[in-house]
Amino acid sequence: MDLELSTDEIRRGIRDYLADHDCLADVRSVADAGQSAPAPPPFDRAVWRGLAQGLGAAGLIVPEECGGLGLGLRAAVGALFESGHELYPGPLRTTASATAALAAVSDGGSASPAVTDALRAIATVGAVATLAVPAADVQGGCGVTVDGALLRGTARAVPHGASADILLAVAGTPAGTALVLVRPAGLELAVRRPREGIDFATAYADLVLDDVPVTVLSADPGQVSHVLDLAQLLTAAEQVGAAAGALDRTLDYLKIREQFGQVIGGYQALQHRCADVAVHIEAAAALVGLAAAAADSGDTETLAAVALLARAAASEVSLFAADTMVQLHGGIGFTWEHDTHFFFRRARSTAAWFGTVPQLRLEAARRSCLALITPDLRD
Amino acid sequence: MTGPAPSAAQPTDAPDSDDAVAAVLGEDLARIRATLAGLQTRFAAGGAATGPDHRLGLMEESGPGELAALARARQLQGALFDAGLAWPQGPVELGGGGHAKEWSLALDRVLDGYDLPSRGQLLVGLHIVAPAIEGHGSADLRRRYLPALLRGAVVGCQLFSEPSSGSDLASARTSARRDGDEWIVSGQKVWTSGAHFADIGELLVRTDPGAGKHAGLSMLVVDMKAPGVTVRPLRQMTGGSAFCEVFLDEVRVPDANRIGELGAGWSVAKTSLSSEREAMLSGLGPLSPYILASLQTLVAGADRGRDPVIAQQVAHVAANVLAGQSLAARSPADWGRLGGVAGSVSKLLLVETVDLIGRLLADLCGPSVFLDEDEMFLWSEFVLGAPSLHIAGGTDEIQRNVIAQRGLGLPR
Repeated sequence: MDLELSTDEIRRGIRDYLADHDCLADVRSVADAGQSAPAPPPFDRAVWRGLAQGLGAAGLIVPEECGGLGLGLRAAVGALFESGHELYPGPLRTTASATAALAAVSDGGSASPAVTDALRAIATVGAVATLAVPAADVQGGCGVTVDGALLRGTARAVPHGASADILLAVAGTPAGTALVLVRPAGLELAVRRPREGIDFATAYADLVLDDVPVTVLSADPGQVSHVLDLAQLLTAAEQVGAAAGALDRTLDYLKIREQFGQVIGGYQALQHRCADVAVHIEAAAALVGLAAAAADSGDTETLAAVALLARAAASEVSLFAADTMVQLHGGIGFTWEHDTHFFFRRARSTAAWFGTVPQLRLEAARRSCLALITPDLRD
Repeated sequence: MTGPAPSAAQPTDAPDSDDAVAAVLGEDLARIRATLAGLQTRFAAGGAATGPDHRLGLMEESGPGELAALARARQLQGALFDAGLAWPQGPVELGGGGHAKEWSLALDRVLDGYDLPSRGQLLVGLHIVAPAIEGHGSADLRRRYLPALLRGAVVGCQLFSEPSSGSDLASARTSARRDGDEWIVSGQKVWTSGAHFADIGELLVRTDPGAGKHAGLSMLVVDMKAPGVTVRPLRQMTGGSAFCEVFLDEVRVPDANRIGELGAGWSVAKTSLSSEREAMLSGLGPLSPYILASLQTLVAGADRGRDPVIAQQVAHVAANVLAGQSLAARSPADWGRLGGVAGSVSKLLLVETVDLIGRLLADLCGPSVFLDEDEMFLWSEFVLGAPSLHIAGGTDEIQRNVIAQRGLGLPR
């Protein structure tokens, strides 16, 4: 594809592609299948290939020498705003998190063949990737430990863990944590147990990884922590996009639904709720933008605090926007047939995963986030 | 659904790092830094009353040091004007810098790094009155007032609200009756900051009682020392006085002092109001660098600073401030459908932040927040001033109306 494309153009391409495809129809087919066997695929592979390869969305932050576009986190964030807005159920965010991790450890050009192979597969053949992070915390391992080159334990609630062709994990070590890449042979040994969850737009799985061979990519505490921060940032971007998607659909409804002889969007009580959602979307998006800019300029210290603040704001606004979407739709918003519950379900589950709002804010405070707003007066 | 992309989705391209600032300002940066460092030294040396005392307040209140502070603000503004730093986007022929908005935003970032006297008393003239004259005034009016306002030689105030026209500003009834080349103005204005020391006022009047509510309004520049103008300070809930009532009794104003067309007063007022909101959120807003630095000191020194509940509040405050700073620096093009209401979005975020800080102060300091002792006295001024921000420059409810109707496209 044309490497001169601006990130705006890439975003527009992703937006149009996903809107044409009607992602919510896919989400609905997962919802309607319920417990039936065999379970339907959590996302449409053909749509993923079109997005990942056709539009280059999976290769945005893959280095050019590995077949990607070599763009910064800002580009990935823009793409995830769009996929979140459409509640895309495929693995764009998990692949981006894994890609960011791979790119982070290959900075400086000394990447191992395992890393470059993985990056190349992501950019060029539509490989699905995911990064197993702590499901219930902001830092630490995902539930598995690495001993030598073997992984042991169970990684819980790994998004797109059942579909992943490439699996990275933050694993515990005797000394702390390490970022590991499961070798292709190891992936075959992994026992994948899809989890039933309330979010029909994100498939989670537990991965039993006993004596699975891995390559340790980094055991440097700062680097592993940085990889987790990047995943927080990318998750936040998708959440803000979902919040905006919920608001836009709510606004559409308020402009056509009539009661008491007028469209209900004219009522101030409803207008004010939408205005409040819009304000908090802008605030969360601004924090995501700051974190992405920090990541792109190599300011890992700022990123470490702002990514968590962005994620906390994104979790809160995604809940707020989804709640508002249900309430302002009234009774129809509480029906199975309406799409509102997909946004509500996505918001609830993502906000409870990989750090809750209190956990995120507490850790950001420990990382001295207040210093970021304190002006550095010159002598 | 093929709705618009979230306007939220735009990471800002405005300068948000030292590198970006340096890239925008280029070779001007060294000169700017030298000028500001010089001013910082000059005002630190000569500033008898530059103590931090009143700088935790959220508004400029009258007090014994008021006139000295005004004199200092005017000196600083004059020095910045002479150095080409007071009016970056202004037209060159009137003494402005002729720079783009990005340059101006980058300059704000640099200014944040210097400890200079507050220019709070000049803000109305600079960010409410001047933009109206610049956007709508005749060539003569622009020449007479813009350089003077921007160099701090003339101080402005805003005469919009009336006792019966608050949120419903367009119902203003202060009347202006034509008499030859002049208007004869009678009525009452209220909530006027700085009316007692201002030289001129931007005065919203009803020039045609027969025309429609909005179409009957015009805007004049009134000389605050003219016969018939009476200014009376109002005492507010802080105990101090930041606002005045202004009585206008048969005040003569030349028609040459009209800003914009006859009947265009509402449109001129909107220019002033949106500029006011924008100014409130930049570094000029109530959350000054000094307040933020003081907050940091307070949290670091407090026993409860490490309490996990307090720590979460601290993080929430930091996030809101960062988001507000980022939105203030966001390029207009990046606002999407909210472009016309960016000031309202930012103002709501700002007042939420001020309330979060107020709550943090109370939770962090306990009873010393209301017992007015030692340095907490300064914070009590902040806490008591906070409610005014929800009202001044348009209430929260008015801002939400604006966002919903002009930004989100919901019907009026």
